[in-house]
Amino acid sequence: MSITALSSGYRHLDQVLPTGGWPGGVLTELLVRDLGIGELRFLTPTLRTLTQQGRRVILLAPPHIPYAPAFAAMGIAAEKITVIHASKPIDRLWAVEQILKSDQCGALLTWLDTPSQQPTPQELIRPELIRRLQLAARHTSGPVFVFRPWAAQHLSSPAPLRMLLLPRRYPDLAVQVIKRRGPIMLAPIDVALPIPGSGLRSLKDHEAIIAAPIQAPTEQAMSLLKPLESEQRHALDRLQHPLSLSGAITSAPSGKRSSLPH
Amino acid sequence: MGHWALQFTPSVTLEAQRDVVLLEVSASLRLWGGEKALLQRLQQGWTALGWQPPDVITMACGPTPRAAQWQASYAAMLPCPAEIYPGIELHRLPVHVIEELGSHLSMLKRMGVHTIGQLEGLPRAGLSQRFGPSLVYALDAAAGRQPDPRRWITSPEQFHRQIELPLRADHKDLIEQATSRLITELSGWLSARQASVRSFMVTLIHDTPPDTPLRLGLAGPTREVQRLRRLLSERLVRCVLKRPVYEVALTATQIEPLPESSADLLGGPSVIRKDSWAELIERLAARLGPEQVQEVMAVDDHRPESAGHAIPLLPGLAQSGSSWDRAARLRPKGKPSLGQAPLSVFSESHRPVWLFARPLALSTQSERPFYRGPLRLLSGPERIEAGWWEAQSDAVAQRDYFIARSRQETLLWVFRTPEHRWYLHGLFG
Repeated sequence: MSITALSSGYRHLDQVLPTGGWPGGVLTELLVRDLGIGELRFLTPTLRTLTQQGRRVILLAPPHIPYAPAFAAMGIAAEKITVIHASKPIDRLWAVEQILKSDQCGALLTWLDTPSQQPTPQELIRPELIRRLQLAARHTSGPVFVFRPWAAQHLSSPAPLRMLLLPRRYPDLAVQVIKRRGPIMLAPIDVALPIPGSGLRSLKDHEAIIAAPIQAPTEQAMSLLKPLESEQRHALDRLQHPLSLSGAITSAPSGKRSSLPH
Repeated sequence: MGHWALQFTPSVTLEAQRDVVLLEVSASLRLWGGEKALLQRLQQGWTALGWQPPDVITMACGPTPRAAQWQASYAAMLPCPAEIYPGIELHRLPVHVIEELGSHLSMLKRMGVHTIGQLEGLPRAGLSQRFGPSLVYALDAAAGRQPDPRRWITSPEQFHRQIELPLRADHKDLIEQATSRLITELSGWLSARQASVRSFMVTLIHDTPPDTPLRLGLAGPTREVQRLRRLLSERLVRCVLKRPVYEVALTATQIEPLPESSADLLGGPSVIRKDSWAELIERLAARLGPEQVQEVMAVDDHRPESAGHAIPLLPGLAQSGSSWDRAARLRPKGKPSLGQAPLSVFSESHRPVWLFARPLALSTQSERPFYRGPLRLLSGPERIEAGWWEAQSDAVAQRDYFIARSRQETLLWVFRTPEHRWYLHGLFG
């Protein structure tokens, strides 16, 4: 088992991790309340460091297509990312074992549990299988992130490090360590996440930015965007200018255009 | 058998009527570490191929092809054959190893001639007269007094071997066993050609067509028996045996030259080492399917579905016309690197880290999209209009993209069509 730690990229989080960063050679469980709260962006600093050092990162059984342009926009060398799909749980476990035992990648990110909105305890990976993977993880030197559904927090797990990822409107994500070597942690740690395309910004400059109004929105777009006014300090207000791709921000589609093929 | 032996020496000849394989090894003995070491290697090899010495075959050495053949015939007659037969002097061999004698054997016996030494002691002219000139020639050739030219076999250009299973196989074990032998043969053939294999095909032949082809790809060229066998066994796990198998064929589909390495050619218990990345990838691909192991890459295309591509890591397995081929063609020349993708496309636009394979239709309530509750639009619209030049009509994309926040505080990438339908296309995971 390796004792070398890789910085999580978040100073406050590194301070509470027993090894001062992501531990290598053990499982780290990330319990995610909902997909889309920033669970993968949370690992951006880690993935960026590893891939830019030329290390390989494996995404095993991701719930959706990992979208290459977003990785590129966050500074992750996407050619170092290998995606492995395995629909059967038994294949997933087999693949994790193979990957860990070969010790060929800088980090492994895996989604072991069968994706479902509200998994029952029977649908979750059993603790004894997690234990087996924990044993296999000893062969590897890099961190092993196991993304698990929210319901798994009530099951026991042999993973020595477990944390909850909770959505926050402002800043973007709260991380609560629920298991670690050492005293129990109670307070969640807030982290700011990058949005692909806007780069990484620290919490400070993000507070300093005053949201710019959406450029020349049409009446229709305005009505859609109205709820925004009450939450001006939203993280996404960091987007200073509206998204533009090849000057495509023209007027919102009028009724006449609806005859065009989709 | 003969072709397999070509890895040890380029001079191999077959005596088809007598089931004899002769190897001329004097030039390659030093390479293989002497006679004993070579015999041991051959013995291991034959065993792996299913010809267990000394039960099925016997091996022997001699200074001339005929002497070696006679020694082997004698070794086969021994009541308790040794695994590696040490050999005795030529003149002590019994006369019945000489095939040229044929029916004259009993006459010699009556004459009290039992060994080759005794036969050699008889006058030559009489021998030739009574038993024919071929006997004298055989004796001279065995002793090296006469040249004994042979026609060496050559290795076939393609490797394709088909064997019948000893019994109908409903079980994968039997198939694996038989195919393992073919892999050993393949490895021998590759060694003889100083080549390595990058992809090969195992065909399971049933009583009626169609056959079941299993394509196997390697991340890097190899001829290591162990590595190939491991790959095969992972591939067989994925294969569902619906009908019994009667025959197995192995075809090398992609051959590459490989510089001579010190690797254990027989794949015996060599040094224990950690698997390389290539081995890991090919094993995963064998078990899960080659299309399941991908690298991600960005393509300069404004359509979101086309801008990110998943490319299978193992080329050479794709069937023509498949999406693989298309993906391979899309790969830009040179190093496919996201970091090198034109920044103008990626830096300004906001893209989700998770893209849905198919956009998910959302319900709406008074023009407002719903996904587990009403969505709040945070930014947009970003008009994306591209892809109309492609032939398929569904490749056309004219969409207004927005970033939305759900009630569960997730960030979504949604779009609106000109028909004012809303779709969820990705998550800012």
